[in-house]
Amino acid sequence: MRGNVVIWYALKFVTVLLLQVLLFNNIDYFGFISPYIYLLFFLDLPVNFKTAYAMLSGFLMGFWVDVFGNTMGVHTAACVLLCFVRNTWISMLFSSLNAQQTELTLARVGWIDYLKYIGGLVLLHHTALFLLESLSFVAFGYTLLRIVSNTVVTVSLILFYEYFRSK
Amino acid sequence: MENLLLFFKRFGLFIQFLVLETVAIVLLVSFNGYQRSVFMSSAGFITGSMYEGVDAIGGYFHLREINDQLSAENVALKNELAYLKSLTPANQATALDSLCKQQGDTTHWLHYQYISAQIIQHSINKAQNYMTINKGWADGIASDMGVVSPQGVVGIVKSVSKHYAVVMPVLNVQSRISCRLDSTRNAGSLVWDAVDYRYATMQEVPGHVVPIKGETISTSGFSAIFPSGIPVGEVHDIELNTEKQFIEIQVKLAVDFAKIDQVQVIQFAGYNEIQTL
Repeated sequence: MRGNVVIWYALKFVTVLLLQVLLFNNIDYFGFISPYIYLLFFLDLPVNFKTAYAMLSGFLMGFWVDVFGNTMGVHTAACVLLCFVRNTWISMLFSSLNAQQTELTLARVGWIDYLKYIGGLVLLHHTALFLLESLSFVAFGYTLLRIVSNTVVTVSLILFYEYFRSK
Repeated sequence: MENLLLFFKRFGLFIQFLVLETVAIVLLVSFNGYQRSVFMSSAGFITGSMYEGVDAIGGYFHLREINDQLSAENVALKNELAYLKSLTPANQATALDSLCKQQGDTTHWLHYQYISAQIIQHSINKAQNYMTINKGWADGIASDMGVVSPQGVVGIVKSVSKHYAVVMPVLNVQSRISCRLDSTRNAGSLVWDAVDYRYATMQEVPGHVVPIKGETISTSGFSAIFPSGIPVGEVHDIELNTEKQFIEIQVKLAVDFAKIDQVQVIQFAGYNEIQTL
């Protein structure tokens, strides 16, 4: 990767992280919905971005979100999992994709495929996140409700952002 | 050697995945204990000062509510003062005495001191919520001190850095606060089930007790963290359990955790002495 690309992604990493911990962590509907828009960083990585580097960036991002939110280890584990399956998920969904070094954008793949792509990964991340976060303390039905409702909110916000970006 | 390289080529990613996940789980488990490292928390130097900066901007939007809360508290304090002033010196001594006796101890009120602090970060949507306040050991805060707001009990200080501290509020599944029913003086523990930030549960109340709906539940003063008589909430619903010898009381919390901003940390002079007994 060229130097300026690395700097671009480093800047994006910091921006997304700060937006999450300083702004979006304060959003709280009904006491259990809070969007995790920082996943945008992993979803927007280039298609051929190496999984090894993606997992490292996932570890770092998750670690800092945990430090700010006093949830040590929870976001770290969920982000590493998301990055580990990301490339496999992409090749499963877009077997005909031959564009190299490009991001998967709404404009390029269309609504349905894009929704499948982010929906699957966000759902996986949120499932790991809320199961680890509640451990055995909370009733499973309630954890399930949190997984589904938070996934809907996070996916909607990311779609909203992508829609305006593609305009 | 060649086989080893081939092995890593094939399973390298999976091994990396396992290593990173193991580190994450170790972090999760080791930080789950009661005393956590303050450096990797919201009370750290970088995180704390960032939160304080953001709170300085966001704080302006709540000024009106905070004003209302403070003036309500002022009125209550002035009424109490006016009542005490209206008494003759001899009566004053007995009134103070009875006020203290009512709280269970004749001298304990002298040992409690309040340190005012501001919440710069908090959450209510997790199973384990925490708060960050803008006072640390430089201001006299230590772990295990009680935290209250003008409405009632907020939580207990968990870890402290120089200028910040992390508080475990009632809204954390690991929190346990000793409390009692005002009418019968029966004690129990206040715990939270991570479902609704407005309600918690009072457990370990003997089965023969009949609480009145709407009556106040306050701190028991058994733990040396809170003085007795600080409001916790009120009885909302009672769950009778025929098999067990205990009842569970659903408590409507006195503090609105969604709007909380200003708190006081309680410094108890006798805490260390009691702990070493």
